Amino acid sequence: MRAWLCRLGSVRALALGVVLLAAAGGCGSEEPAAPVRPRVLVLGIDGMDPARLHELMRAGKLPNFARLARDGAFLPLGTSIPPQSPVAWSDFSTGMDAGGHGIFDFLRHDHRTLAIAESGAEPKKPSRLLGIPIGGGGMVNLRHGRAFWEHLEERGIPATVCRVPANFPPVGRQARTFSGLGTPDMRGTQGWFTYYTDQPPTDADSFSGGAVVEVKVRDHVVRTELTGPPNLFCEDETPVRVPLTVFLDPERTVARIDVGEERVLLVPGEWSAWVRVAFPMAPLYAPLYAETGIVRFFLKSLSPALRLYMSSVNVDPASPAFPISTPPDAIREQSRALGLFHTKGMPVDTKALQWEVLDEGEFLLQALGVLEEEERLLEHELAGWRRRGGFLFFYFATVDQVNHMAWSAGDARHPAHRSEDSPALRGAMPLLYREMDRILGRVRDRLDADTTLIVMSDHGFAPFYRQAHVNTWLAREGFLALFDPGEIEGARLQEDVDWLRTRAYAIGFNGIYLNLEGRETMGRVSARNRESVLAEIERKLLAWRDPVNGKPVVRRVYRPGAVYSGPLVDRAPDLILGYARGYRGSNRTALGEFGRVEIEDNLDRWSGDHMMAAEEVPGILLMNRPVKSPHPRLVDLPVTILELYGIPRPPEMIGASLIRE
Amino acid sequence: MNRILAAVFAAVLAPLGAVGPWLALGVLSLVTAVVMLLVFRLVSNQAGIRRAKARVVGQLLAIRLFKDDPWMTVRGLGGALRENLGYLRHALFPLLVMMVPVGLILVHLDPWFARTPLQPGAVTRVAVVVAPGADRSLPAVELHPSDTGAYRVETPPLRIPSLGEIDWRVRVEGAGSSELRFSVDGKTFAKELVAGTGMPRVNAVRSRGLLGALLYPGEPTLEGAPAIREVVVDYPAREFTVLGLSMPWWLAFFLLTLVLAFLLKKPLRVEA
Ligand SMILES: [Zn+2]
Repeated sequence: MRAWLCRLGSVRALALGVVLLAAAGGCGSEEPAAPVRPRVLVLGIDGMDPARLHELMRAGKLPNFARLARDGAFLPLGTSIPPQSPVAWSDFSTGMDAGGHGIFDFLRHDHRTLAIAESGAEPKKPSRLLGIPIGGGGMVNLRHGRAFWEHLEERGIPATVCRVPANFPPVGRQARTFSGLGTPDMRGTQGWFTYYTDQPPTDADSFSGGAVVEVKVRDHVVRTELTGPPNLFCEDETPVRVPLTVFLDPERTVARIDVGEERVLLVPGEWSAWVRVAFPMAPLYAPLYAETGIVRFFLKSLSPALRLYMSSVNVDPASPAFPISTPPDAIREQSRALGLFHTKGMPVDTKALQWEVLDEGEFLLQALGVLEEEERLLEHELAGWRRRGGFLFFYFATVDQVNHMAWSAGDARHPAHRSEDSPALRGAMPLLYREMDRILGRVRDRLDADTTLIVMSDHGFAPFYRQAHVNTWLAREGFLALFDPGEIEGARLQEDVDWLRTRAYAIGFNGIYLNLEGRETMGRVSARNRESVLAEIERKLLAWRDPVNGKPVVRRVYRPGAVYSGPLVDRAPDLILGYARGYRGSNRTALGEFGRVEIEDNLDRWSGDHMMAAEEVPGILLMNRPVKSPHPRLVDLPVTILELYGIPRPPEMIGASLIRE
Repeated sequence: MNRILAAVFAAVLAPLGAVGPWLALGVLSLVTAVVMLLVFRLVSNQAGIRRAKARVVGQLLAIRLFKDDPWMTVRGLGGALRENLGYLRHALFPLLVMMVPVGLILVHLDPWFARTPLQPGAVTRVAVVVAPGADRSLPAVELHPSDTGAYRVETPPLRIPSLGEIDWRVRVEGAGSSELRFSVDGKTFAKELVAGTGMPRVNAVRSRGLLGALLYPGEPTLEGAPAIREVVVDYPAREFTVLGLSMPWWLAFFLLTLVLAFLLKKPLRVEA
């Protein structure tokens, strides 16, 4: 464009200019001559469980899975240690274990301050000039190692990787990649609903993952605010707030939500489409610079109370405020074709169900809406992949997230099971498996004979009946001392622990750490004593019995040196807990807190889980060709994918090919 | 007069729309630039402008020549400023003259460029704005279902007394132009609804009276049904992206016209 501006001066150049300008407004298209072969398609279904899959297949409910198993292979897939999604998917992406990629848990912590943060990405403060951000800001992906698609793109093989977890910010140069689990919303959280109501619930103060905004209806109008992302131009990063107005019909039959330029009419019980919201943030005259996000509304009721749910403010795929794809334009291209869709990782709002802001039916409807969007995205990517050829990975989040919440409804032995649970939630898991079967069928019908199809999950699922407060157990066993042992419930590692008398503590979902000299601030265990303390804890963990039923709580205790390889082994927890089926570390443990007793019932709606011993929760592997290994593992998959393109196993990858004897 | 203009614009833009919004805007900017330059040449004092420009240049030259003499520099600057005002005086009248046609052009082009038609399957808000009664009660306006299946009314009427407005959510079912049909107190009235693709004329507002005719020339003004002030349909805004910056159509049109007028000044021998 600049080139022609310099050359103008004659009427002839002018005509050219008009034509160029018109072309700039049109659309470009670039397509390779012939699709690259072989084609490889991997469908990743987070949390799909082999036992349940097998059961439903045998019952004849999943014809397409059954056909794939019959024509090819169906095996349990060895998962990561520990079986947490960010760890497992990092194993898949890099072909290394956590000792190589450095993602050991959902959470990481600072050994000196015990401050907790998400393990996948780290925000970097931008450098500022006169308060104006001039660069250097954004997020840093903390996963180490090279993803397998980086080997593909290096060889010129077209690769598309949609929403694989622990890939935020996404890595890749030529490869089209879209970030998934780990992608925050505009406020920087992993999920934050807003509940506008004139009759707030009594437990509103204890909400996590969302907030209640109490509103007043005056003259059939509610004037409130929508809280958006932090303002880049404020050094304290105050969130940008935009006005939100709700007009209620005097008869309370319908309402209109005004935000920015948008006017959305809803009747009670309706979901809105995605609504784009602009957040003006420029200094002096705010509209000069705005970031946009997208939200969905659900109008629960207008009478007797106004109850309006609003989703997390997702990044706008048409104009992302931070990179969620490579190349950065790929997400805009998706949006040009498909309009608006969720972009946040963990798109199903489990917190809203937990706090009963959404009821079971509403929650399920939201989850099915997410699945519908996932399917539309898959359809779009399949079309591009058929033209380009090469590699395509596509990720589904719904099965995992719904299983977490629906387990107790379908399991009468679960402490959180309630007879009044809706039949919809009870049937949610089989329903989602059937939905995945339908999608698999649609995909399979359109594959060439020479396409390799892999359907896999990162881990399976198990009940989460009883929660273990590991710090409480460590205190009882004498490894950890509190200043006031009588005040154990709700105590916190940072404030209430006598570190001079403490040898070990638990933080994260599966980790135990020694209070090590030279590492922790008041380290008490010397390098010389390290092994004997670890052996003592390990022995006692394996002897730990649930006082209620006498069952073992811990099935396996892993030593990082034995289960990890790679340069980052020394960042691992000192012991990794592999819980027995039915048991899991409590949320309090993960946050470095204490419970009243060592083990108690899990009465939460979050009632199914997989952060146990790896042996308890293998994932699934289905392939439309024979699998040569009797015990395939996640780390074998990237090696196999590279092998399909004739790329030898990179030395850092620890798996083996599944298609070679 | 306005109706005739609307018909003229329709005759030009209906085929022009087929080439896409950017090319259509480019051609219209080109025509506007040429017409503006010719009008400017006609109504302005060309010799006066030339002289005024020469004087400004003379004063600037003086500043350069006596740049070691602060007094002369200040005098030169003052002179340049004075002559510049003289130049502006010559340019001002023609600019004022041109504001009228430019305003008319903007009003008439707006329905073609500002909005895109609704996609079949999309939902939109339809609003009837009424003159409120003394007690702020709203008349019982009814939006009738489409008898051609062009749209579906999805919500009951939403009455907003504080805005004097009644809203509905309408889902567009088919492509092309259709009529939303309303009634109030036994009288009927209608509003055009445009769906589909391409660049048809999309009128967002149907209004009444002289001002309504002036501002919204695309649709005839409302007759009868005196309680109804106007009918509004929300349409998606059409965005124009220039060097990565998206802007409303009129800004793109202004920029394009300005650039073209600047480039065409010499070939058309216009002093400006
Ligand atoms: Zn999970």
